[in-house]
Amino acid sequence: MTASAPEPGGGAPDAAGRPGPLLTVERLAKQFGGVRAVDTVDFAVDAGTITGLIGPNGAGKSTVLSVVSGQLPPTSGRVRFAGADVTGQPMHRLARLGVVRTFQLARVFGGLTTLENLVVGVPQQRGLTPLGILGGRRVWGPQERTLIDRARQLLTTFGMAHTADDLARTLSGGQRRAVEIMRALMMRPRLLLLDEPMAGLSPSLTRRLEEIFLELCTTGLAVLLVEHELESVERLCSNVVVMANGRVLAQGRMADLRTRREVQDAYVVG
Amino acid sequence: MGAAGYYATVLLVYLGTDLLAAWGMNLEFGVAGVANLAYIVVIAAGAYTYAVFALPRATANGGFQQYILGLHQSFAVSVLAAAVVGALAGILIGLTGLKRLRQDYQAMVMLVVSLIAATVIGADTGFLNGDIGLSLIPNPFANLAPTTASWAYVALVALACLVGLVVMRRFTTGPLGRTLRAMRDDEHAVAAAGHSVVNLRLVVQAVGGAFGGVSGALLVAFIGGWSPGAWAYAETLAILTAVIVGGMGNTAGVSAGAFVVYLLLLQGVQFLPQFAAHPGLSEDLGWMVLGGLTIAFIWLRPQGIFPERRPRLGIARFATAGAPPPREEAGLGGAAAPPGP
Repeated sequence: MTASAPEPGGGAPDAAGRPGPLLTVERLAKQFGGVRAVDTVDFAVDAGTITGLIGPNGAGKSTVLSVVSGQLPPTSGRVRFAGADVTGQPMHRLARLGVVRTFQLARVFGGLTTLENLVVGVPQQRGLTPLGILGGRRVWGPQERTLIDRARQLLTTFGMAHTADDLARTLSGGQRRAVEIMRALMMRPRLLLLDEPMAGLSPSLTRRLEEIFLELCTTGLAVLLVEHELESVERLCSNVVVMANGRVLAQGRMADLRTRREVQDAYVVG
Repeated sequence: MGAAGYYATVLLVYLGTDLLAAWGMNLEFGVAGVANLAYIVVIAAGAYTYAVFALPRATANGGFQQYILGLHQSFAVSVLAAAVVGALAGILIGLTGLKRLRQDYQAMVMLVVSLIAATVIGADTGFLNGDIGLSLIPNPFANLAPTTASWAYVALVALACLVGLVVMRRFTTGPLGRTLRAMRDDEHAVAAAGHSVVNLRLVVQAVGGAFGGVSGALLVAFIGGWSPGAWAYAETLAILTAVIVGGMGNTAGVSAGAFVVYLLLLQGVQFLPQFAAHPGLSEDLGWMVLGGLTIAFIWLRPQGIFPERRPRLGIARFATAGAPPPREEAGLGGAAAPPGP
């Protein structure tokens, strides 16, 4: 369903030559039987920014994330990434294009070590090709060493180098969440879809994660962040989309949204 | 060759072919988490393929049995064909059961495929001689003296196992083995990491199918006959028990499991005294013990006799790089600049 290949930078440029949004969601809807979980949702995410997606439980935030990431097909509407129509593309294909997600409940590969969890996050490995399988380590060894080095760098950045050889099933909830985020970063994504990454983390860990996200955004990474921790959203997000009952209620800066009556009624009380 | 010598060669050939089948099943279920309860179908496909490739035309033996092809090909060509057909059968089974089904439903679909396949083959006498099955299937060493032929065949099966072990290692270690184990742990997370779960499963079922096909071919060339009675769905459960008892994901463990299930258990009951009032009870006891063993291991020792052991990434490198600085908290807290996306 791809109309054209994604642009290398941001989205397709506008008439003035400025780069368009990296992600555009147009009139997106998702229905489960008689329940319309997402109803005509529109928003955009620019490269190098963090966009918040907030709302009360059941607002449809995670469903939007699932549709954008390709885990669920939409009932109607379009998803454009870097100028290309990627609506309905499967999750693994979108991940290879640079749209990588994490899950509300952190999903790690419990039987693999932390380091292996990260290395698995790279789909274009020579060891997965017929030549690599037949040729063995001589074919994929050099690339694997590079990936291990990159994974160790990330582990150090996240302060988890000491867990590199621990089985992921032995990690704490916060560590699992970090492993999932690091695995996503191993793919060098262009758009990171994060589903409540701060949930269950201590304040110090939350702040460290925030620092990492802000640093990553300076390199051009875009983040779509579903989050209930509104302080984090305020610190991180240049644009916030408020959802309720499957629809977009309001968009803008968090500070402005706090004053909006309809947003307060639906969700924001602080 | 005495009776004991002949029995030894039979056991060794059975063990070798069972090992190939158990390794194929282990790749699918133990490593990749694909519960293929139709695995016996790929073994049967390999056995029948070998038969109709190696046998002469159906009319050559007076037409006492009916079957397709009858190409009268060499042993090597017939085994190769069996491997290819086994792989294709594995892919076909995968296509029927894999698309958008949860793992337990996939297992049920595959079990039904197994039952349907045996019923269809048994009902169509013009295809592969129906329920009576095929006989006079050529043995590559038929021209040698019986003792030499038997031991030569044992050597041939041993060679096939050696090659199989090397091939299996390619698929269970390195990046592919790691990705398959990740898929076993969490399919959604593997897809989110850019891997096509459907493709991975089909690759696994093709390779597992090729192992099953070769296993069936080597078995049928030795015993000379094959019919639907030889590949009932319960045979899949025996292979599954070997994988569970030996240790899922562990090739050496699964080999031990195959030894326990096929030699100690299913052969062992042959030596029990017959119960006059209940003929056949001794053989049935083997299957009863098999079922009990499976349940016992799943409850008490799900990791099997030999738990999965594999080389983990970079442990040696880690040791040489020096211990990482201790963290105050089990979680985040480092300070280095993040490698850019």
